[in-house]
Amino acid sequence: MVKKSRLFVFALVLSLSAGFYGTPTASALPPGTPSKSTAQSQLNSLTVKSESTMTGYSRDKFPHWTSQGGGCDTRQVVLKRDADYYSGSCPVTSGKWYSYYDGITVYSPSEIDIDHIVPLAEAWRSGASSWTTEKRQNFANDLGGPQLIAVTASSNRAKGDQDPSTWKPTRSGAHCAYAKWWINTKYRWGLHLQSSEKTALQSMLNTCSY
Amino acid sequence: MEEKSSIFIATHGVMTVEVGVISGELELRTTCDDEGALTLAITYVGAEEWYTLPGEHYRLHDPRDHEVVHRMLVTVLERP
Repeated sequence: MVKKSRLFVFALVLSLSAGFYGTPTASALPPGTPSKSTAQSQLNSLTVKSESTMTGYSRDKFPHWTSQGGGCDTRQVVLKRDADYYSGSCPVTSGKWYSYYDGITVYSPSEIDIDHIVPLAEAWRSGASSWTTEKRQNFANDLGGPQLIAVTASSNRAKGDQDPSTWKPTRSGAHCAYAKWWINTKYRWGLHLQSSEKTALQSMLNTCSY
Repeated sequence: MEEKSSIFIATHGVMTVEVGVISGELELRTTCDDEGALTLAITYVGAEEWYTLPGEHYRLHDPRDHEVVHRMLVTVLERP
């Protein structure tokens, strides 16, 4: 009897751990992902407007990777947050990262970029050009919501400054969460969006089950 | 040293060395020196920083080809 229950517990632990390792995406999710219905109402409330010009833009006007204390900058904080495991601390020297956009797993921080879900250039032309530098700095280092994510450098470069009407994660399973993060970031920061972008976000949001 | 500049639309973007893909209304600037050495730079129209297109050490056998190379690049990169 004792043996039987021990076996059962062992089997249970095995199945639980198999379930855990079967979903490596869990640790890669940024904080503050809204539910489907919340994201829908946030999308509905965004202002649809054509993009403003890029006049005056530079990345220097969005000071990013600022110090977060303990010798760590924003990039290092996200690198640690999104790792399955890592060694070294500011700088992180190695680890394991599952890139949510393309489903690729890498083991070196040099292959990982921290992506701004809503890119800096995209923010500039959808409202951030009129912000103070301090506000733009807060946006560029936003750890409070789903605006930063560790993904492969190649996927970050392919995305660049594009909005969801011209670039989506190559892994279709990522579309739901990507749309939620994009919508939530624009909502929290009061940025507007274009109609083509809204259409693309709506179709991605439609793929969400909750 | 000769400099040529064109403005075009790239809705789906152009790859740059520094920041990955950039999109929208862009300005391409190519410069060609007397030896034919060609450099390529791109920016958002009106922005305050320039980026580099991938590839380097391009050399034209005749600097007079600068014009046609510049026009070819703009035509290829434009994706309205």
